[in-house]
Amino acid sequence: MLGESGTVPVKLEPGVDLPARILAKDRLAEEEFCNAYRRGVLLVAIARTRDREAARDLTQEILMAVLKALREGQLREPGKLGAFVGGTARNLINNYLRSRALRPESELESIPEPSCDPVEELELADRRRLIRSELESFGAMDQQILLLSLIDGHSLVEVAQRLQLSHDAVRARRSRMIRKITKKFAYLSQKQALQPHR
Amino acid sequence: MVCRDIEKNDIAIQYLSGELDSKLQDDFEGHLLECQRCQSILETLLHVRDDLQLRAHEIRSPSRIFQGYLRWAWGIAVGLFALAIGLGGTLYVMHRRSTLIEAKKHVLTQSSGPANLANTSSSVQHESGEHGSNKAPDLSAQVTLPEVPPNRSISNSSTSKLNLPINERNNINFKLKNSQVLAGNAPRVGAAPTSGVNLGSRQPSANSIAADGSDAPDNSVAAVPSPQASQSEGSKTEGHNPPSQRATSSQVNDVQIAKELFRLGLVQPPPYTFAGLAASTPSKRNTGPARLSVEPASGVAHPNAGRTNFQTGMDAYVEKRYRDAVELLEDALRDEPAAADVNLYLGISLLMVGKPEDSMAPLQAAGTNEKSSYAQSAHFFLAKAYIQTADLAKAEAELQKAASLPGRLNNQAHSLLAQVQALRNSTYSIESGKPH
Repeated sequence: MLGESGTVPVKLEPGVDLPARILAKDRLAEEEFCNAYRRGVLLVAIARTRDREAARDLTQEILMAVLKALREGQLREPGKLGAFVGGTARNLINNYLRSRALRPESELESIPEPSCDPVEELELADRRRLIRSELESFGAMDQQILLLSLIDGHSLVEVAQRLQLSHDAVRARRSRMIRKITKKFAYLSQKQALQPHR
Repeated sequence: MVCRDIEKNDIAIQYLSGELDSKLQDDFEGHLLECQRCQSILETLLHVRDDLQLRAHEIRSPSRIFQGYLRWAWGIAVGLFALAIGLGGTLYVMHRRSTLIEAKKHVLTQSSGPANLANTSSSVQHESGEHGSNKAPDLSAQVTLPEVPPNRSISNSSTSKLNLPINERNNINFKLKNSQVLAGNAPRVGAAPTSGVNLGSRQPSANSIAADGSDAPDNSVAAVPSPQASQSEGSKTEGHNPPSQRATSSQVNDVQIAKELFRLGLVQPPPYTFAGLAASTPSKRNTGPARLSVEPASGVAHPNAGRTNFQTGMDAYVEKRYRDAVELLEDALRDEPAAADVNLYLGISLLMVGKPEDSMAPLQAAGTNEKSSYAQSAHFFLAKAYIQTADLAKAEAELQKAASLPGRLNNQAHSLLAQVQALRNSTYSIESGKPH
């Protein structure tokens, strides 16, 4: 079956009875649930917090919170497990962001620590190297567009004003770069994601 | 929300940039939790964001943005600079070539046809602003053509700057003019003259020129026009062509004659050796102008006052202060009117200050006694005075006398005599406007 984008769809379809199995104290169901939602929750957490270590902790916290809710039977509609996970993740991430705003800007704990999995670290480093070489192949103006958009959080209108370009030109440039990169590297990420979680 | 919409609308990058509203964001996050493909896209974009964050400082530096433009600008600047140098060099070479061609044409024009003399009366004038207030000598190198063809007449106001090859040196700006007095505003010319035809009142500043006008290290001509010359020209230039007329071959011939007169009229003042106040006998060693010594005129007693003035004047003469020498020797001449040495050196000094006509009387007096050792020198320099006044007939006669007398000037007198005769034998006579 072909997906809407023309590629093979990799739709995660956890069993509809998964909440019921978790409610029945099925350990395999809990493991299946974690494998199904761990990566998505982690990515959302990273995207929101911009902190990988904190995102990992948040992911654990989110999954534990959902499992606890499932064990207690708090999910009323078993078909909306994904929305339930997303809502729980959103709430916990927002709580984290609110609490982080009250903390000092720099702490010793905020220094990133190396991952405990060396293989994962090697794969991550290799992917970063490839992406960097691809980014460096872009022009300085294109990199400026990505920087102002992704890092500084400027809108396309603001980016266009800063770089004295038209809005359409900025949008077209950014879209072209993103498609080029994702087309080249998303498949690698997809393959690795299909591998069993270590 | 489906993957196609997400890819088409760049939802993932908008999500990372925070551009999505809350509803779209919630929808995307809900889709993301269950779509591995969109997870891969977002993961890739997260790596992109991390890398950009690491290299943010490098990307933000403006030099990197404009590095390419600056490289292009630098290349263009270097190219333009090289082009400018090339164009400048080409123009310089072309200018040099054209200048050389002009100079060659000028030299060829000057050296062509000396046989045809000019058909007009003209005075040769040099432009020189130095000593402009002095009395100008009467110099009118009048080259008169007995029969003036109507189609070869020259305007009396037509001028042409020419270069005289005097003592192997050009660019003296010799100007041929008719009846124009420029004593007050005549421009300066090149190096200081040593001697020669003092067409103006300029005083020569060196005396190292050979008597025949050759081998002088530094020569130039003082050329302030003579009032007498302009006066005499005024009556001879009526009916001539307008000044806009171009120079003809007759003008060139005028210049050739003037050049020849100038060359022949060059004067090398003889050196003087002091022989004491009481010197009364002619020295046998000093028989020529190179070793002239104090010698009283025969039969004339020299009082000490006259001798003292003479020696003082000769001191000025040795120091090349010819104007002072003229005044002092004139004082000495009042005491010793018949002294040959006083007359001779007074005449030479007058020649050196540009007064050839004033020098004739003392030089004639010095050459009266043919037995005197000064006689040859007196006739020789008297000939120079006649040459400077363009009276070649008298100059020839004086040179014949000088050549017939014993002395060191024999060779020079013979040589100068031959040249004067050659000049006189040219097509037109130069003496006093009479036809040959």
